[in-house]
Amino acid sequence: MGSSYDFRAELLAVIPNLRAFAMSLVGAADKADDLVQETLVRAWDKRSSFTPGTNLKGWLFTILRNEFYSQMRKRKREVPDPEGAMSERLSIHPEQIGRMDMEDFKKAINTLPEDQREALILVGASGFSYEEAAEICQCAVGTIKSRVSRARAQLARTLHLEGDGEYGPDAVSVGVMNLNSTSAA
Amino acid sequence: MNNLNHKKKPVPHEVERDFSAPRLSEDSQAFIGLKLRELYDDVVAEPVPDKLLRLLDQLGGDDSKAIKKATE
Repeated sequence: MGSSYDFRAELLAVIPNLRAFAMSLVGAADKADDLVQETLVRAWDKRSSFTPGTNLKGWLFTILRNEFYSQMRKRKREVPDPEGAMSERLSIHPEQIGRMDMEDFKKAINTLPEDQREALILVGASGFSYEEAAEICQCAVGTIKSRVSRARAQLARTLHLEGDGEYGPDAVSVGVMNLNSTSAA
Repeated sequence: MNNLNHKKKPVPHEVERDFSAPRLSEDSQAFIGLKLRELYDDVVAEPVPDKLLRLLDQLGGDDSKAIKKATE
């Protein structure tokens, strides 16, 4: 069927974003890909419930997140590694940014409470609006806003961004760069 | 499962904030945003693993449980 072929192509386009989100949830690359795989199978099974032209990325993120939390409930013993989450396999480009900067940043991200980290990533990295993130997390928009704000505030504290912190010059230089340059599927 | 039907346009997230949280300077927000995207986009930029490509190829072929088994 032609329509199923299109759906497959659309799934393919969202996979890179699904992997990045999965990585932020589970930390390890192989587990992240397993989660994406499960998400794709489920999405395919229930594709008739997706309305073409609506937000496929949000729909898939919702499936992935639900899958993640239901797996977590099933095997509580496997707690995500707070040091490993979103850090181990992520490569660093020293020419772009100081190595220690990024290491510190990853550590700071991983110390955030899970709900805050998730909200921050959905809004600050995945490119969702607060409203979309609230739908994905099945909570109120205000809750997402509050989580994102608290996450940013805690990161700023952990990294000593405010005041005369060591990141002063970097913070100034990134202030002039375009933060929206990267594509969102 | 909720189906996401969006009538409104996404709001640029930089504009909104929670006024109960401490105010961050624009530089700090920009710094956090940039680092966050850099971390995330490193993964986005990776090629889609073969395992997932194979799965996509097979979707719709037979039943998806068999596909899932085959790709494990």
